[in-house]
Amino acid sequence: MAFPLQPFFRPSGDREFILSLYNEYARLMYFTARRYTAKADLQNDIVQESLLRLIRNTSTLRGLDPPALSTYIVTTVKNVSIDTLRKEKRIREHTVELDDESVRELASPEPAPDELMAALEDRGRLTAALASLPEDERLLLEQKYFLGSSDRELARFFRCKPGSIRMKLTRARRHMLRILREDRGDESDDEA
Amino acid sequence: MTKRERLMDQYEDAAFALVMDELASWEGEEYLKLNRRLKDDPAAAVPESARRRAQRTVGRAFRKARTASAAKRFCGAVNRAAVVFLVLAVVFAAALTASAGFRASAYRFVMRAFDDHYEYSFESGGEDGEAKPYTAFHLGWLPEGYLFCQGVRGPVSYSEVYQNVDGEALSVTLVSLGSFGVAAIDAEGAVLRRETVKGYEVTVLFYKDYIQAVIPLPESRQMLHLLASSPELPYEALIKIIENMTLT
Repeated sequence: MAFPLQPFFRPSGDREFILSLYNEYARLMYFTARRYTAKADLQNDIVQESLLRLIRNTSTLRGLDPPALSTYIVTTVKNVSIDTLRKEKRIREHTVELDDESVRELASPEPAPDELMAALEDRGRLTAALASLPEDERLLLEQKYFLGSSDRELARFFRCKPGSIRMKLTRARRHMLRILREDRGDESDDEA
Repeated sequence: MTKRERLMDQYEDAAFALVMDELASWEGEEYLKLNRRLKDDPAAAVPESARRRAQRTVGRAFRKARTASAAKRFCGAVNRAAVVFLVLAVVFAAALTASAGFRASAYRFVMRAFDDHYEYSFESGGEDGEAKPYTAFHLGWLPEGYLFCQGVRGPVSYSEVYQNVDGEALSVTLVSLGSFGVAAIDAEGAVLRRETVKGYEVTVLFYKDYIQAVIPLPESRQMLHLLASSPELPYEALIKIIENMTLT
């Protein structure tokens, strides 16, 4: 007939983990925010909001090695920067509308992802291909694959319906594949 | 989407996941180099005010998460404890509420001590009277920081749970024992203290990890049960809660 009462919150190092992350990467976070706004108060707001997002994903962060962790943090700050500036109405919103032409594009035969796997051997080619995508497509791929954002989170960020985000992802991926193939085509021409 | 299109989409997605994982590492190495340069650059220093704000943000976020998590777990735990307590009362109880024509004798509250538990019940004696059970209570005073968490009404009881930001919780339960009901409370490791509050006999039981209090209500053959998750709750605070309680 005992009434057992257990401790209600596990002793956690999560708070200390996040604080140590901040101490380690604060300068990099502010550096990233400064690329989007020169205003110190907005930079502060961006970094604080980024911290809150990192806290929500503490368990993911704990599983990352330092390089992947730094990419995660920088990508988070970039996203928050864009979100913040949107609220400040300092930049135009990123929207990609699916029109008939886009649908036709998707329907046509596309290069297989084998192209992508082959490009793994050339770090520079892959990095350049990602960088040459339009900003919204690059952001979409970064958020999807660097941050592991869900379709719903992506749809909220890109102001579109959740159902159409899959189509946008397919479009962005195939655009990157085309860039890689064209780049390889250029190299083949050079060799010839 | 056809099956083939779906499979192709999954293949693309998996291939991109692998490649982007590599890209994340490569870009991350560049960010780490940049971070090392920034750490050596005095111009890139983060103002102390910004650091303090970040510490407050982190502290607040974790306190909020801890409170929400503790509230969910404690409310669950107290509900489980309350259910155990209620089950004991229900198992032994027979007539619970006054019905038309029912006449009850005046009852006296009896507490029996056993090796590992105390039993509480009402035994008849004296002049006949009509039992008018209370159906609710109001807490006129609570220790600072305690907020209402949830209320639970059962067939023979009504409970309210309160919690503060540190995750410490307090439950108050009004139980109808009726003519034959018996309630049991754990006695193992308990230290008892008795006091009379507003004419009611209060028994407080101090345990290693929590505190319980029992207040019999002979006029209605009910009892009040208090359970505090923190053994540090001051005795005076517990008595003050009881003093400022009203029953309806």
